[in-house]
This record gives sequence, structure tokens and C-alpha cells, in this order.
Amino acid sequence: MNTIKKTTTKKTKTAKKKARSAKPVTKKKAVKPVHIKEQMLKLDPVLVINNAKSLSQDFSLLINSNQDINIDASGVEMIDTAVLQLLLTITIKLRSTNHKVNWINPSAIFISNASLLGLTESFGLA
Amino acid sequence: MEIDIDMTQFHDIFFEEAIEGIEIMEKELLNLQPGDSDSEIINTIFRAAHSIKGSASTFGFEDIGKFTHSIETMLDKLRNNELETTQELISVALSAVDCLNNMLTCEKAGESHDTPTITSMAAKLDELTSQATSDINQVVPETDRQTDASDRNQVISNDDSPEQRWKISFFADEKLFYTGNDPLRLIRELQNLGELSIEMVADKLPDFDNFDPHNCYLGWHIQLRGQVSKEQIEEVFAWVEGDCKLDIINQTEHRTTPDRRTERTQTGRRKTDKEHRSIRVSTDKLDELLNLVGELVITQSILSSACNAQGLETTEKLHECLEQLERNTRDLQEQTMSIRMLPVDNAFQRIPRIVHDLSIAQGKDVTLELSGKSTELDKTVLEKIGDPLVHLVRNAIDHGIESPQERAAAGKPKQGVISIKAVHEGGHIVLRISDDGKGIDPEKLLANAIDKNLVHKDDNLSDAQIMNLIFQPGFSTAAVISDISGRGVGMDVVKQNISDLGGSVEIWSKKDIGSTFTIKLPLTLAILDGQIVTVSDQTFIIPLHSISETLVFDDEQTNMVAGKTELYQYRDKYIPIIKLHELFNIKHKTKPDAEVKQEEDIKDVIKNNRQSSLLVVFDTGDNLAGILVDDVIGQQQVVIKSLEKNYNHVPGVTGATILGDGSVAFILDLLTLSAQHNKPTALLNTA
Repeated sequence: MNTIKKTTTKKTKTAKKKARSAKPVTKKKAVKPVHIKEQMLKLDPVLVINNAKSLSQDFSLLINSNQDINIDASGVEMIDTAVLQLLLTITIKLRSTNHKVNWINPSAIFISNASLLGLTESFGLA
Repeated sequence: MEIDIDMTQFHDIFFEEAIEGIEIMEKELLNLQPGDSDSEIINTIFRAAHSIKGSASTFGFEDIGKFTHSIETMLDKLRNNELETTQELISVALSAVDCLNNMLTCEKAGESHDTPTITSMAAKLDELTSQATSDINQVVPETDRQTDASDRNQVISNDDSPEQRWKISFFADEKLFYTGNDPLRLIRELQNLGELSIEMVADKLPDFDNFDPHNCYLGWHIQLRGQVSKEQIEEVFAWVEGDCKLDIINQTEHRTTPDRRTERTQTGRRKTDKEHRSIRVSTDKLDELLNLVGELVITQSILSSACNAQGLETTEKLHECLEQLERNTRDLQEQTMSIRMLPVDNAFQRIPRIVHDLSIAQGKDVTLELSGKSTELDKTVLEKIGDPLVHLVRNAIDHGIESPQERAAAGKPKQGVISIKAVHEGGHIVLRISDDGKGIDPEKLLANAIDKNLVHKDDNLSDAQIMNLIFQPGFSTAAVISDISGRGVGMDVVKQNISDLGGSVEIWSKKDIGSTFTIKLPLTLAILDGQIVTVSDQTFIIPLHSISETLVFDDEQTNMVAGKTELYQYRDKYIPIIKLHELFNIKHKTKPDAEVKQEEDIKDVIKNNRQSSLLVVFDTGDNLAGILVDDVIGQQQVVIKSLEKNYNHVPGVTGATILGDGSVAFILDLLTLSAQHNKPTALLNTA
């Protein structure tokens, strides 16, 4: 289970390669997907089903903080349906408590994939 | 925390699907002609390669994915008119498909790849691809923002096909992610086909507290517009067939319920024929089902016999029920057996490639005509007929079809024809392999056979007998031994393989006209129409299709040869007599009240038995022979049971069956009995 740390070293790795949908998602090594500083979350570049459980546990703590959540999706290079579905659940959950997710500079890949799944409206990105 | 999905459980499905993809690629490449720019053919090949690449990567077969990517890149250039369809390109592509096939075979067997060959092949593909020139007149819409150029599954517009509007409802099963599939990839592929409008449905999405991130809860209603066929859409979803609910509705034609496909619960196979839904089922399961149905047939038969024995046939109601049970059992049996039936097209698939390669290698111009491809026969028969078929076709090209120059000189069209026809004839499937080549010269054939001491020069052989000499072991008429044929190994094996299947092969040939091989095969190996005969207190089954005639045995018609083999004068021939008493060491039946004490008495019994015996004459295609039996009970369709699995191999017996009275009866192996008729004791000794 991932542990939430309030401050962590911000990753400086930038996207160099295009994400490829056909890449084997299960081959990806599970990494800690979220870096939290206050209520701001920065999503890691690669977000696939292997990370989903860990990400979900991290979000469960934040949701209970009863605040809006700012998610920095600017560095997302690869994101699959499982993780986008998780983000949708979080969005709906916050909405039910009159809070919301604020997306910070979502990457083209993030928007493209959310759009392909018909999620941009639910995310408030339309 | 990582989820632990064992992807190996899906590998078999991947291999099967990939092999199907390779077959499609090979078939369509063979349809491609130099100078051809048939976008449909090229797109079909591209889609097959694209599917293999995508799934190979998904399942972790990176080398296969990478190699297929090279093929796909070349195909992408081809469909964009940046490359021209040349014979060289087709040959390289076919070789690449072979290479890919080998990689799959190695991967499946857990063996390492032939890296030098793969590297060399990839280099050839790259070299071809590098020759591509951009055609500025060709506009290919760029719709995929994420994938590279070769990932575009864009279908080149066909001006003749109208724009279609499709409504696709796609609802993934909860466990879809466990299969390694991602709806995102599927929708992205749809995007490559045309313009999309996507509506997400989250009705089943649980509250965050009950949410399992490893499950898929979403569904989508997708509007797709473009020059897209239903097959193309189905191709996209082929990998999740059985793992989702999918509706594809053509709204262009305002149809409300065309081909609604719902509630699939089995992992399905890619549909090659949209009229028939199919599922992938292990043949072990089918065999077990067939075995159970066989048991049911036997039980029904036993029940019927028991009731008759008790005189219960007079009870009208019971009699009706028995008749109904018999009908139902037979229907069930036929239906179950039909599951194992496959189109003969499966055996034909290798042929076009062989004709293509060999005709190029030999500088011959050959066209192949296939007919009756949908004719069905048992899977086991189908698998075993492939090699003989290939051998006959190779022979037809090597020995039959002449070079274009020779054909022109003989007044024939430059292009030779090889035709393969499959038809059902009287409970059998008949395959006819014909060529319009130079045929077989009977004089040359006979001279060759005399040289090899297969026949004596004084033997008076008919044309048919001379032609049949080519099935003799070690026989070949090829003047030059080639890599393809002419080593004298093959035709005897072809005949043996066909005989092993309970079939026969005949040849017709005429010099300068051509040759035709006719292969006759049983539709199935699971049941047999048999003649029930008795020898003393033992019951045997003789395959009905081989029986020529049943005679009342006449001792006057017999002759001994070398004091060992007894022959029977059957019309104008002498045929060997097969005595099951001796072969299987069966005691002669005596009357209950007879007291047989002296040797003379035993001889009398045998003599008396012979005088009241019957001779069942059978024809194996090569030889006639007669089986001496005490009585013929009747004809019956019997379920074949393996003796090897349930007991031991018994020479002269192909299997066994259980009769209505519960007794076991041996099914005679007529080929072995016929071949061994000169040394019956050998059988006895090895039994």
C-alpha cells in the first residue's frame, strides 16, 4: 500500500517518447504514481492498470480531506482506461460532496485519451 | 500494489488468432498481382498484420511485435502508393510471413528464435520500405495523434463505396482488463476508420468506496461515419469477442435490428464467415462429448435388445418410447459429430502458396482452381489429408505441367491448370486433383517398373494396373531427381496415409492430356457402417464399404498354394482365404450334444463347419480377399472404440465396438489382413 507523503521530490523527467497504446500494460513496473504537495497532485508520466490500486488508495485519503483536489496532469505520457475510469470515479465522488477536481495543464495525451473515451465532459475539460 | 494477471493463460488464444492472421496475410498476398493496387486486399493484409502486432505487444512477445511492425510499415507504404506492387515485394512479403510464422512456432514451443534469419528478413523489409517515394497526390487523412504513421489503420477511400453511419454499442465485461485488452485501444482503432462521436455510459460505475480499479465498469455508444464495412468494425472488436456486449447497427440503411449480437459468454474466434457464429472449443472436449454420445448409442442399443428379449415390444407405449429414444440418440449423435466437421478449405489453404512458389521456381505458368471448399469432413481426416494433397500438387507441377515453351509447342495454352475439387459422394468425400500437363506415359512407366524388377516383362498388365505401379514403394519416373519430387519416395506414402484413413486413391492419366488423382475418404472416423459376422462364438465387424460380395462357401473352389495358403476361385481370379479361426485362435463350434473325442471327429467338425460357412469377399483397392465366417448377422452402424486406449493393439484389428447385447466385437483391419494373407501365423504369433 502506498503511503502519502505531504512533500516529495518532484520528478523532473520530461516526456521524450510518444506513448504507444499497444504497449503491454502489465509489463510496466509499478511506481508510486502520485506526488502530493498540499492538495495538489502531480500525476506520473505513466499511469496504467498496474498503478490503479495504489493510486486509488492515495486518492481515498485525499477525498476524505473534504477539499477540492487540484490534479496536475501536465506530465502524463501514457494513461489507460483503468486509470481514467478511476479519475472519473473520484470526480463523481467529489461532486457528490460539492467539491471538484481542478485539472492543471492536462497533457495532450491525457486530453486525447479522455476524449476518446468520452470523458472530457465529465472531467469538465470539454 | 500490482495486480497479478497471468497472461500465459491467454497465450494459446493469441497463437491461434495470430496463426489465423498469418493465414489471411498469406492468402491475400497470393491474391495480389504485380502492378496491383487493390486497396481492399492490401488493407486486409495490413489489418491482419496490425492485429498480430498489437496483440503480440500486449502479451509480451516483443520480438514478434517488432518484426510485424516492419512488415506493417512496408504495407503502409504500399497502401499509400509509396511503394509499387512488384513480384519482388510479394515474394519478400511472403517470406516475411513465413518468418513470422516460424517465430510464432518457436515462441509456442518455448524455443529461441532464428535470429540471423529474422535480422536478414527485417533488413530486406527495411530496404524495400526505404525505396518508398511519397506520392503527393495521395491524401491519407491523419487521424491518430498518438501513434506513428504505421499504426494508422486508415482505410484508403474507395470512391465506389458510399459513406456508412454505424451505431456501435460496446459494453465491456467487468473482467475485460484481465484479458489484457483496453477499450481505449479499440476506440482508437475505430477512430482510424472514420469520424467518431462518443458517448460514455457509466450506469454501472459504483461509488468510489465500492470501486475496484481492476474492473471495467464503463460502456460506450459510438457513432462512426465513413466508408467503413461491418467486417472492419468487427475486426477491431475481434479480440474482445466474448468479453463484451457488442451491437453494431447500420443506421445508413435505417435498419432497426440488423445482426444484433448480444450476450456472448464464450471466448470466441474471429469470424471468417459472418453468416455463422462460432466458438473456439478444445477438441479434447469434443472428443469426450463424442465418446459420451457413443456410450449413449450403445446404451440405447442394449436397452432395445433387452426389451426385445423380454418380449416387451408388445407393450405399445414402451415400444414408442424406444423408437423415440433411438431417433433422438441418432440425431444427437449426428449433431455432435457435425461439431467436428470442418470445411475442406482448411486443407486447401497451403496449396496456393505451394503452387505460387513452385511455379516461380520452375519457370512454369500455373493457375490453381479450387472448388467445393465448403465441403465438410472430420477434423482428424482433414488434418491427415493435408500432406498427401500437398504431395500430389507438388508432383503435378514438377512432373505434370510442362514449361510454357513445351506447352506452346504442344498446342496447349501457356498457362497450365491444376484443379482440386471436393464433393460429397455416397457418404464419402471425394477429392479430385487434376492437371492438364503431359500425363503419364504407360510404356515408360512399365519399362521403369520392369527395370526395377517390380513387374516381369511377360506380365500382362492392364493400363489401370500399370498406372497403379506408381504407388509401389521406391518407384519414380522422374528423369531428373529434383528437390521437389522424383526420389521415388512419396506416392506409396500418399497411398498409405490415405489407406490409414480408411480411404482409397485412384489414378487416371493420359499421355499429353493430363492426370487425375481421385481420393475417396470417409466423412468421419468415429462411426462405421459395418457387417456383423460370427465365427464360432465370436462376433466381428467388417467395414461395409469394402465388402464386394458374400458367397456360400464352396470347398470345391479352393486350392492350396505351397501347402500353406488356401486360395478360392472367385470368378476368374484366385483370392486368398482369411481364416479368422486360425488368426485369432478361435475354437470351432460344436453341437452341444456332440462328443468330439477323436482327431477324426474334429476334422469332421471343421469340414462340416466349412461346408456351411460363408465367404465375405472384400476389396482393399489393391487386392481382393475373402474372409471365412460362420454366419452373417446383419448390418449396423457401430461406434468405433480404440483398442489401444482400452486394451492393447491387436494386429488385424482396427478397433472394437459394443453391440446391443453388451458384447464386444472386433472391427477387422482389412488392409492388414489382406497384406498378411500369406503369413497368417505371423499375425497369430504377434497377437
